[in-house]
Amino acid sequence: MDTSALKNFVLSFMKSFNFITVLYISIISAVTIIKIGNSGGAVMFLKKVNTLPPVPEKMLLTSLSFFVFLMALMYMHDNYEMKRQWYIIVMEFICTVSVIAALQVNYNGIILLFVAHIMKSFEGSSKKLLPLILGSTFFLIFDFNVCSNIIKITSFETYAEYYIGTVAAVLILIKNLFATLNIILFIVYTILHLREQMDEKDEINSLNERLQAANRELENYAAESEKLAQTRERNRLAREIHDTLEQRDLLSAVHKMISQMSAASKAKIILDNSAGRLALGEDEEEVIYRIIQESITNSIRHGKADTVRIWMTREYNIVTITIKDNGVGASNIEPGFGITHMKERLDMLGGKIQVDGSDGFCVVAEIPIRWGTGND
Amino acid sequence: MTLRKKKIIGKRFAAGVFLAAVLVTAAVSLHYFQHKRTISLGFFTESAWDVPDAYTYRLIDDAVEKFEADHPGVKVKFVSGIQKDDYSEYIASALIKGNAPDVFFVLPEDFSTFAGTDALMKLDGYIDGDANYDKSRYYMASFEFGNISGSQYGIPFESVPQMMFVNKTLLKNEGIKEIPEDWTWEDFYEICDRVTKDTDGNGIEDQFGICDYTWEHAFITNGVDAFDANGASCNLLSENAVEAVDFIKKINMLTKGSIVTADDFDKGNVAFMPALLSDYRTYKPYPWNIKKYTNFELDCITLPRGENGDNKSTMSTLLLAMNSRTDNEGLAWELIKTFCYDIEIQSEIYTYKEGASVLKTVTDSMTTMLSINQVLSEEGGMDINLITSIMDHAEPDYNFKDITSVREMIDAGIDDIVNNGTDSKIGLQMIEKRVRSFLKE
Repeated sequence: MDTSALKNFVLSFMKSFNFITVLYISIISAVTIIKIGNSGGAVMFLKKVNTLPPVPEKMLLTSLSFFVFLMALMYMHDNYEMKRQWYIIVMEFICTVSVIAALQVNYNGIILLFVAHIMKSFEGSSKKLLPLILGSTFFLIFDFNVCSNIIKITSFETYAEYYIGTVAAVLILIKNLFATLNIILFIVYTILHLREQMDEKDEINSLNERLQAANRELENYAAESEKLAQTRERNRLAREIHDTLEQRDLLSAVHKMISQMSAASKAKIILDNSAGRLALGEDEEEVIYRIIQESITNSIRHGKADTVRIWMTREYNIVTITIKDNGVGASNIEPGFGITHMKERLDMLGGKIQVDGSDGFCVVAEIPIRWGTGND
Repeated sequence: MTLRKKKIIGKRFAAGVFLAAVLVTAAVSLHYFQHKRTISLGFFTESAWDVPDAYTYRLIDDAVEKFEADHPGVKVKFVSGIQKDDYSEYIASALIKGNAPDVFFVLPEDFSTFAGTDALMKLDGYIDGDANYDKSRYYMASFEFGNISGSQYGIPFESVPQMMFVNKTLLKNEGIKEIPEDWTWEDFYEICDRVTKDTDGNGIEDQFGICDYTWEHAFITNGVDAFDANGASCNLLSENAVEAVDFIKKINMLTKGSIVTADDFDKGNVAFMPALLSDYRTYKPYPWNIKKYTNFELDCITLPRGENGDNKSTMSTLLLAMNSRTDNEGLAWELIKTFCYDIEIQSEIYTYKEGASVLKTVTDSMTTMLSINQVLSEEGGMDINLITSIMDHAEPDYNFKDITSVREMIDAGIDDIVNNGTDSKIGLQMIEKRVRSFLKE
């Protein structure tokens, strides 16, 4: 049996149990009151108590009818949708207090039944502790010893004392047993209720955790795939450049570029190579190629030059590339000219670059080349 | 969670509830209305004062007839034939079972018990709210008896003050003339001393001054108020109380150990005996059997006063009370007024009952005086003015719950002091301690 079903079973059991208790207390009290009335000890009894006992028939009738009414309200509460749930809870409370009052506070366990029942209504609410707190407060207030200080009531024990010795003890014992059992039932119910709540919470927690894990995975995946795409793009570019240089040596690549560019711009581009054939590293070739490409672009685009001359010289391990045009140049070398990029590339190789825009563009780049890779 | 089948509460349901409520209200009000037409009365045959009584029904019948005439359509319902000895239990039983009459007589000894259990309705609202009702028309002591802790739970119907019976014949033989109304303990002691003697010369005293004189008579006539109104505390250690006990000791010494009883008074051998007005009115030829054999003239006077007191006495009162559970409050109050406030009915107390009317006007009035004189003066006996004066000065009897037990405790304690010659102050201190601890419980 699962917690929820067990809980409902305990609640139904509590209801029947409370009915038996209310029945027991009201019948024993009523019968005893009538017996005292007929026993010839009525005056003696009145001298002992400080208030008249309730009218027996009335007590029986009111306690049982309010109990039945309470059960009916609880049934309605469980089975019908209420627009205003508060109304029915208040009515249930009034019935509960009425039963207690009819029994002259000789039994207050019915408050626990009331609390157990309304706990359901507060499930998932932010005030879910309210019934427990209110319930225990009322349970303490509607206690015979507390109430007998405020209002005049007659205890069940006083009635029981009418019987001789053992009978009185047994009657009181049964009543106390009923009250205690009811408290135990309530505790069991509360534990089941809390367990049910915790089960639900656990389930929600684990679902939540799984969801977060999935989310994290998804994020990782997204990050990874982005990096992957970047890498792939970079590789593609590298391969492209590499391919350009790989296929031929640097000079033929430069020549090809020059002819392509002069064809496109109608500018005259002259390469004067006195450095001879160079055996350079891939990175060095790439840098030289890019510097030449970048400078020609600048001269044509920004300098409006129609002639660009390129000198390539070598002195020991320093390759010097000078690119000079007859264009307008530029008073300021702007970052957009790709100079920065060239500088960075050269820095990596330990080279230098000088740019001058006063009389057309003049770029002088010195690139130290690694020994051993120098002449073939 | 499983889904529960729920329905919206419909208008039909609300209408059903409303209809049921209307039907219940109608049934209740119909029952209530019919119930309103009858009012029940609880009373006992015989006198409340333990004297033979032949005419109880005459007064009850007259009052009921008058009430029914004043309230057309209303019937007074009662169970007749309940003896006084069974009456307390009868009412208590009915109260417990919830079927007590709307209005019932309350014997003085039951009053605190019934009022203490809230069985009796508080009548202050009626007393103050009824323009046709004036409580100052009652003897204070009669009306006060129905008051507990400031609330009026009963309205007086018939009172009997305590007085002193006098064997006039004996006094005459001893050469003692009229005793003044304001006589003192000294006068009292002197007479007792004078009449206590051995008349037949057998060496044993056979004529005495007093019997049945208790601490209560001594206390009330010496200004001792031993209890507060609620019976919550007891104060026996006053100068006056010590004087009173000393006086009891002194007057008891006169009999030199002989035990004098009411029987001796009946035989004509005792000069004084405290008794109730009802005794006097019933036995005016004091007990008939006695009258037959002993020819002594009975008179009554006030109780003698101590140095610090008055010729006062306590007064016992039969009350009429309203059941706190009655649903006929208005009619119940009217019925109480018929018995306790109607001059005609109250006058009948002097015709059919043995006590005194609680209404000053009735007891004072000429007609009453005449009727009493007619009855009383056969023996040339008592003066109506004496009753009026005693009642005017009377104190209500204690009416707190434990008074019976406390009385017994004090009785025993005083007996002890008198018999063992204990110092009055020390003796009283011991009694007071005992009574206080008893009252505290």
